[in-house]
Amino acid sequence: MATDWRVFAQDCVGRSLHAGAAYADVRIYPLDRKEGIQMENGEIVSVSTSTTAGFGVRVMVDGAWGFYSTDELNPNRIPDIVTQAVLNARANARTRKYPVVLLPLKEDECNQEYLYVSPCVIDPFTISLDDKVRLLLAADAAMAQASTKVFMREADLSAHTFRKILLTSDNVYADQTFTRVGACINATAQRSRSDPDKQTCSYPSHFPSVMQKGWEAILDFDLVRHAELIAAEAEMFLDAPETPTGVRDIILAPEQNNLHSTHETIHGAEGDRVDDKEWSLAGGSLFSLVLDEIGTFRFGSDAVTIVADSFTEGGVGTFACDDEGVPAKRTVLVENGIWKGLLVSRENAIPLNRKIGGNPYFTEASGAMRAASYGNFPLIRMNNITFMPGKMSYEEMRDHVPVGTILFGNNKSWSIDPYRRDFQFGSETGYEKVMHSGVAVWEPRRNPVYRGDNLKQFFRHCVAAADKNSAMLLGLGNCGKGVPVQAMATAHCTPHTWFQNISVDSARGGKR
Amino acid sequence: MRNAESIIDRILTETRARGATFTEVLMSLGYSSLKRIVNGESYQPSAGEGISITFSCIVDGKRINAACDSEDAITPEIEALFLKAPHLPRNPEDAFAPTAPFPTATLAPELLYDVQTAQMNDDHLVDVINHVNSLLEPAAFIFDGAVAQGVTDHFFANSVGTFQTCKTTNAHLSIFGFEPNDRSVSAYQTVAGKALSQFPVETLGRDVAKKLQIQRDYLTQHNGDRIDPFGGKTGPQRFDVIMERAGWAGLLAIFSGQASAWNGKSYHDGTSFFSGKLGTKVMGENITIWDDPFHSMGVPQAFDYEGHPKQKLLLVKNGIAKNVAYDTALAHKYGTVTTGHGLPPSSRSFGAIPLHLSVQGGTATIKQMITDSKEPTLWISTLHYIRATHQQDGRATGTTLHGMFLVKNGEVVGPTEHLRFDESIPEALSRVTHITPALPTLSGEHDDTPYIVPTMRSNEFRFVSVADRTVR
Repeated sequence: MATDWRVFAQDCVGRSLHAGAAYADVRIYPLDRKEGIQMENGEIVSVSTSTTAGFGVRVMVDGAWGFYSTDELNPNRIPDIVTQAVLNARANARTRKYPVVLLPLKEDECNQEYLYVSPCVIDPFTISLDDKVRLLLAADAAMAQASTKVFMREADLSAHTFRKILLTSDNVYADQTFTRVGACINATAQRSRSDPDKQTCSYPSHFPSVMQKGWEAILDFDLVRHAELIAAEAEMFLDAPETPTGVRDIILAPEQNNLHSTHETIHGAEGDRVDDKEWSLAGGSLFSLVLDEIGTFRFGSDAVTIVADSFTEGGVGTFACDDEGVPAKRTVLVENGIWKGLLVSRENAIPLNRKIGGNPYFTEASGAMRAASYGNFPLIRMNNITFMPGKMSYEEMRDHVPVGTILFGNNKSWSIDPYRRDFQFGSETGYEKVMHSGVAVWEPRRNPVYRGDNLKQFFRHCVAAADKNSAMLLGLGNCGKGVPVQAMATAHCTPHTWFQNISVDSARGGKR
Repeated sequence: MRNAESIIDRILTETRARGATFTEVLMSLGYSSLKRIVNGESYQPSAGEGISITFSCIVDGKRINAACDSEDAITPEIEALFLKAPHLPRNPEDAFAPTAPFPTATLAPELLYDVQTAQMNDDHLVDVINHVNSLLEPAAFIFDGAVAQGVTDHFFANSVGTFQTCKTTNAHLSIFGFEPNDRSVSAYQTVAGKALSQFPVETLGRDVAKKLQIQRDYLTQHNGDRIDPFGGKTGPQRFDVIMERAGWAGLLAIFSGQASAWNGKSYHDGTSFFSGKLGTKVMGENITIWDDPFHSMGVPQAFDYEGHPKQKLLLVKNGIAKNVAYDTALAHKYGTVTTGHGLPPSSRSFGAIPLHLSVQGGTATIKQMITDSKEPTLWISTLHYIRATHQQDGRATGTTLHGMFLVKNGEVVGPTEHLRFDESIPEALSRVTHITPALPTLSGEHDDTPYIVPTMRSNEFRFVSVADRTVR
């Protein structure tokens, strides 16, 4: 007989409250299923499947959190798991100087039920392995055909579906099922085996890009057509000059801009980081330095508007309700360059308001708490982060930027300081705008990197974001945060974007 | 109580009956508790128990992997595996499997397991938190970090008769100390190993407190201004550095992991720093690096993820590149023998990587390094967000963090602004002048196995920019 998960969840929460919890929730994962296929040089090198299931109970007792989880989805285990969570909380209470306090849910957020199934036209688990392998082989063949210099051809497909059930002691019940797919292709070229500077090009990213859709998203990626393009591009870069050193205008292509402007930077808009709670792993935030200026601080130029939401179609940050029972929301983080908001949790909003000066700037949680599995504690996580498009077409932008501008392609390396401001990013490809006989052309430049400061310089130097036709929504499947590290899927959407006066260099610059 | 051997036997029997020519099963059962600490308080605690079952079969010449964390999922996973296998093209490389059992791993149980750590409960972890608090709070510093403890039973079996089992404990402690009103005043120490009770909590806590006090005193006397090592100039500059263990561990983690330096697959692909360089001088003569899974101060491992006994592997001897890592399939492909570095089946296509790096220590002390530093030298506590910028050059970028100090004329002058570096790791290891004894430390790169590394002083480390702390 199928387990009644609502009864299971009610038993967990009811026993927790009976044991003295002031708040309790349970997350049940009846099934979490993954499949991954990797191809290398025309050979399938890995086919892996996995299933997990389990539940985790979170309680607040004596002003402290307690948590315990198990992979045994057996109602007989509930009493023991609840007891362990309560004992865990009681031990933790010995360290508390102040009790944990949660911002109450809004009245219309209590006693809610959510049933969500992410849109999926073609269930990826119904596509035969034959068809998946055929697609990878076709992409591989396209790379092989496009370039004899490409010696490493890689292609990757993944599918993931999971159901999670949440019940909180605020009587919020959510039963949500998600289906995601991911893919990427990489081509690495060399002049010879001893070539010390091999060149890699990828599509859509170097690592699998994840979409909260079905197999239709894989078809939309059009891997075979792009396989040919990236292989030819990788070969072309073998003979490209190094990227020059100096201060230039730059255009970030969407994949690189996704990572820089809406991922690595927006980690700094997570309320726990701003509240100095993440220094022991992820770090702090540039916004903690100007917290009392929220709502008025000039973060970027007028061209910079960044929004977080949990509604974007196909985004891996889309859901009905987060892991603390808060419904999906839209949060404006930066509007026309002015810093407006953060992603905050029920626990986090209160101390942030206190730091701002007691004004209740944050009157509700953002609906951004997610855990990577039943065995993890929920954290504030980015959902779908969008850099809002401008009016200029990408073609117009290419015409308008000055000679010497460097266009940065897909990301290759990424590093940012713990405040999320001092950064260095490198791309697989760079193109410099040069004039030949009075005609502007874009010539390849290898190993491009750029550096700067997100707080006082980079976003204030943003000239324009291209229009929505150039924007690209992609999911990052493995964003790490927390201890133990939780790998979370976050989505990012940006257009090509133009920045002025940025320090650029070659990743091989400064060699002795 | 789950019976691991019966689960393994069931998988081997079922897959053989369905026609698998080879099956391997990797299984672990365990319990762990971790407490993050913020402002001296337990924060986001997690604890739980779990089982992990991974198996890999060769069916009709094709290898296919499955994983689950429940006994109920085993049969559906096996069924799915055999449904998929016929649809895969043949891959001659994947068809390789060992034909005879591996030797039994015979590591002394006491090297792997600490009874006291296994028996600790949440109250013991809280005692550690309160101990560190007692070292930092009297000076009004605050403690962030993590303390964790776990116990795991590991099993491996394959269909040609290999069976391995061992029981391990693991623990780690990270101490981040801060000035309450200015998180840029910080210090850091970390330790990991199999025995929490052997961690030098008092020593580490006092070291953090001492570095915080140096910063506080200097900043009080200098209106809160730190030293700018670049002296207001822009562009790359080189400084001698005294880099503590955590910094080197982070660099080695990226060099070994993201840059795949010692990965036998990358070596033969030509994408590793070491490609074409085995037997040549790549670092200073004072640098010897092992992969040592038996080091008593680390978290030892008896067998790798394909059931082969682990072994100690010399990677660099006196600056000469000596070996790279192989699993059995890579070894078969390239005509050599496994070095005991097999990864779990789903990761095996990545190659083979050393997970227990150990740099041979010396006899120097940090005090001696400071005394011997007459020219401006940067004493670095650790590095942050290190990423490879050029795999074949072994080059990486990142920033300094949690306390950096200018040393000049043999004395500590004061705390500096933090810097971004962009440097070749092998080149930095070619210019090492002083080496302390090696101790276990985490790399900060999301790992839970410590590296055994010394603090080292290296000349002319390349920095590219100064982190701006001002907001106007």
